[in-house]
Amino acid sequence: MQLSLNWLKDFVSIPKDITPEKLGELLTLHTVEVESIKKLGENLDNVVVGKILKLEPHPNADRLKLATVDIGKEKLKVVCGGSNLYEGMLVAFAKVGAKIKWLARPGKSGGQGQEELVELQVAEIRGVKSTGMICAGGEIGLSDLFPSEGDKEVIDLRGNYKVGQNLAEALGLDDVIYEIDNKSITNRPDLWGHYGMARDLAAVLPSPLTPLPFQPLGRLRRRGETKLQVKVDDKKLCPRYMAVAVGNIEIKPSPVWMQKRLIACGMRPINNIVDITNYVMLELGQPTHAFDAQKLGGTIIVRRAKEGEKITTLDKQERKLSEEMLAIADKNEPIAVAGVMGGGNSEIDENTKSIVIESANFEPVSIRQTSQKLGLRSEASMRFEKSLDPNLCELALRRIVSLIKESCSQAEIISNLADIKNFKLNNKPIKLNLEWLNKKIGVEMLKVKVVKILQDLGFAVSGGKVLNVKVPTWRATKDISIPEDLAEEVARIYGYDNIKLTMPLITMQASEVNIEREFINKIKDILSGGAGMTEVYNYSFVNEAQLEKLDIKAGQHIKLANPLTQEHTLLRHSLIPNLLQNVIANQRNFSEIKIYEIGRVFLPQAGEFAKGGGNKEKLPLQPFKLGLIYASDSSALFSLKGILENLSESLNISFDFKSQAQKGADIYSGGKLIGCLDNFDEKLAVKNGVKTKLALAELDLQIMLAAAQGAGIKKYTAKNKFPYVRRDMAFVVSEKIVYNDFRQALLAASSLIKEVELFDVYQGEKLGVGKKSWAFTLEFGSAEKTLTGADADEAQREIAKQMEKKFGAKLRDF
Amino acid sequence: MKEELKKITKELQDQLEKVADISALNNFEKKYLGKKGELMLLLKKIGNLPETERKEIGQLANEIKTEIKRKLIETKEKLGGNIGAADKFFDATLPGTKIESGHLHPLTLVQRDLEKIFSSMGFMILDGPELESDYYNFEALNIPKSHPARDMQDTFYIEHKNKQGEYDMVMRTHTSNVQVRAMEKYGAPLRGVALGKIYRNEATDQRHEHTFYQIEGLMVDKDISIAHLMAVLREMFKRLFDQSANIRLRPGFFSFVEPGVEVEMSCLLCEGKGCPVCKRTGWVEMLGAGLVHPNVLRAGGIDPKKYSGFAFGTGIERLAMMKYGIDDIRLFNSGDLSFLSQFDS
Repeated sequence: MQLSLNWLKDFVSIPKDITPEKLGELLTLHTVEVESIKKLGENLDNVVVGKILKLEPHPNADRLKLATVDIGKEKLKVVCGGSNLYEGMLVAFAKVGAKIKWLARPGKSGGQGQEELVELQVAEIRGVKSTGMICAGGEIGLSDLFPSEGDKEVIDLRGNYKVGQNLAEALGLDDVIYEIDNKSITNRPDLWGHYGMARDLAAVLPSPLTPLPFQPLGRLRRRGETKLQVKVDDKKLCPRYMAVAVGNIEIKPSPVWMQKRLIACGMRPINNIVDITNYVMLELGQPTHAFDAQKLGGTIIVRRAKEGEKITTLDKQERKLSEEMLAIADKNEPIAVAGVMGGGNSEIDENTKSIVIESANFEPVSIRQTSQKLGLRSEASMRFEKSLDPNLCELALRRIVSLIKESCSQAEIISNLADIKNFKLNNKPIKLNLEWLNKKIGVEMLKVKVVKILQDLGFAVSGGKVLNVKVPTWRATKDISIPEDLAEEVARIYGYDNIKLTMPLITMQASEVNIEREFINKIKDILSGGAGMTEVYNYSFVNEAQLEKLDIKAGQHIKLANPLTQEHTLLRHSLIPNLLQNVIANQRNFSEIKIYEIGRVFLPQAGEFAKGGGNKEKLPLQPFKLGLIYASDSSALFSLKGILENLSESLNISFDFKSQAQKGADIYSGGKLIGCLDNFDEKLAVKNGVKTKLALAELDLQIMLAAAQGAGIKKYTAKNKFPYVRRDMAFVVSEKIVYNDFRQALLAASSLIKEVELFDVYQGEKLGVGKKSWAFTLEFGSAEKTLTGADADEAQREIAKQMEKKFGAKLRDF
Repeated sequence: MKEELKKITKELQDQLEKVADISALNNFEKKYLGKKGELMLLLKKIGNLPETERKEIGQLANEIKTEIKRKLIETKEKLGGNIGAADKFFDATLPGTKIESGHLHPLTLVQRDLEKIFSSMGFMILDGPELESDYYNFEALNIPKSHPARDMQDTFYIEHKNKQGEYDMVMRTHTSNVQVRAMEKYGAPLRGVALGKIYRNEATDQRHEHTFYQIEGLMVDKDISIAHLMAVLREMFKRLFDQSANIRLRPGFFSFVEPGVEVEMSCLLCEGKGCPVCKRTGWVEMLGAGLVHPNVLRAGGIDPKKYSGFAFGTGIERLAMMKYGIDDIRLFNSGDLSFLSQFDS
């Protein structure tokens, strides 16, 4: 919303020492966020109205002309390249010393060109001296008012302006416009017009607020016998409907002062009647509508639309209505979408002689839903959806009638005043305890201060230590109903800047540790630390096509009811599909990709979190998973397995890998399945455009955490008193023998064996078909004595014997 | 054995004295001290001695070995040879052996900063579901059915309807869903922060994401005031960015707080003088906050007559973007390794 400073000044006097910038800051800090401050006519000090007396060709340039310009006190010669010059033309003339907007070349940093203000100097253009400049709109910051077609067109003032007059003065550009963030006033229906804003400002400054000067409606004399009948069918959706007919209307342009304010606030002037309704909306925040009385067919009926009923709105669009929408209709058809936009069938035109003015109040939720469904957000709907004060209808109607009288002196009220009320405001007094208030804000504020703030805002205050505060109607629709709301009023006007920062004084208490979060952090440290992996964050969404390409059925996935794009329609079951996308996105630039993600996945079965609010149901299960991918040309699977083993060791939990088919393994811990490790299927790799070999793994963090908590702390093992003896042994076995079984047997084969470490795996012709060789370093030791070579020799013989018996293993020399 | 050792010691010392140049010295080293050198072979036999002798002989052998090595180095120095590989020019500017380490996501790093800051002030780290019920995400937070925040264009709804035919689950639109859950679980007093992933149904561009991270702070105790909220938030910004960071509050509206405020931090780029980043105001909008609305306390089973509280929430991406100078929010979910590998572990 755009606010005019001059308009605000109609209602509140602003001390001279408060600059427009300061006022903007006060609004931001106490009321609403000011997004920008625009000074109309800024930097126009040396720009005046000039008249071109004579045009001559430039001796050295075809496209330039020499213009002699009268600026009142003197006549100056300038060089000009304007394409629309003519003798007698009134132009915006920049004198030497004026500030001109210059589009600088793209900056050194390579960014876009920036506008710069340049002081105009006497220049020699192609050998001819030029003392000033004839300006285009953009050159003096007036491109909104004077858009130029093509970059050679200069401002053509075409009006009754005095030559030599300061341009800003001539155009009435002495206003300052505040751009307000609409979002910051969604909860403040009273701030959608200048008067409401002025009222808040009056409390902030503080400075007296000028009361509204309009006559009471009763005093507007009625001359005419038109019987205006209004029927409100849906009282819930229309709490108040006021209407009155005005005759002897003459449609013409509205006065210049009104047009200027409308333009300044971003509205296009149309004709006196439409402009007056818009003006009153911008002033008071109450949207109204004027119908051409001659075009109405009988009684005005406020009713629900019929399903499929059509209306062409003022923007010339045909709209199809549905039955939850509220329509304003005559006996034949809808004449307006209530609170959103009027219909073309009852529109005011140059022949209009009498009008019916509607000033009504509509139910906010219905207005919002209607405008959303129609895709039509108007200045009116924006205001109605904020819960306007129904009392405002009357104020607005009074203001409109008096403005029409100003515009058309012959205009008269020609009907009865229709006013159908179905509202009750809940504005019974709120009890405000001063001690409580000070504790809430954290200050020591005196009663007089509190009372003054509330009264300045329009609250009626009485009482002692506990105040009785009566809420004004314009704050009572939804904004203010409890003491906390009043605390906000007092705090913001008092000023948050005046509150002294204070740390809370509380009883010391050790905070509960979030074990799961700590566990996750530890895993991240291990993986991103020693394991050298990179953590990624992915979206929680996948799509059917993506899953299909991975041979994953989409059926069980939880669906979004309203996905943003086709790419993100389902909630992920697994972290792997999006991690694979990461590989595809990075494989061109990285030959080795080691990534992982920790995040929630979403499964259809019921989980641990309750839906709450008395509902016994549980939300879908959403456990944290750890997904890892290792993409590399060689031995990705074993590299990834190494990382998992490192992880299990660091976390002090066991990982048991059980082979699954040919491609991977299931991972168990303490007999519980916690995840899997796989080579990515080659066919799928081709189908998905994955170019490197890759291994992937996914683990369930909850089960891992349970295992880690069960395992407890890894205890210190005392160093052996006697030295160990190391021996190497290699065995040839059938390739079907599983390593883990063999290792377990080795460890059990002699009581002297302390540790077994595989250091070589070999398979080749030398060994024969179906054979492989494992070479181990064995560590022998004893708690009682230092072992001799003979002890170790004996143990080795025993081991060889047992391994041959159990696995048919043959010793191999190397 | 003892004799053999003494003999070889004598032999070694004699030989060493005769050594005249470096190459001879190298030959000597190989002959006696190499892996299959004479001394080493002798020492290996010690393992097979009876236990009674082993200790004494072993000790003696070690002494001899140490002594010979010392003499060897002495001789080498005398002959003008250098020790070790450093006999060539040493370029200290050559890179060392590369250690490849991994990377933590920048949002993990900032979340850890925040966790540390709030843990040090006694806040616990809370958690909650991302797929949330309409109740905890909206209703319990004083956001009634007709509230614009519930519009389909802002919220991802789950394809599931309750008995009344309404969608009853959403992807949480803020970490504020944890507020009432925490109150129900822990009661008052309560101090906690919740950090995590949230979702908004809006198109992405350089500044907007449909999936991002938030931190939510909640403190409920006796007589908690705006002054307390301000002090805690200032501490957060000071520790996260700069000791000189300052804050200011202005009115703001959020259904679940009253009073509600927007909190701005002094612009660190221009130090409050005004620059394009802070729209020439000297202040940058950082977070939404306020005193917990009595309806929310009630929903959490806490008596608003006895307790009050403050709450705040902000996007973690914004903090990370300011901290690391990142200019495109989409990078965080891009999985782009050239981006991610710039952050340490």
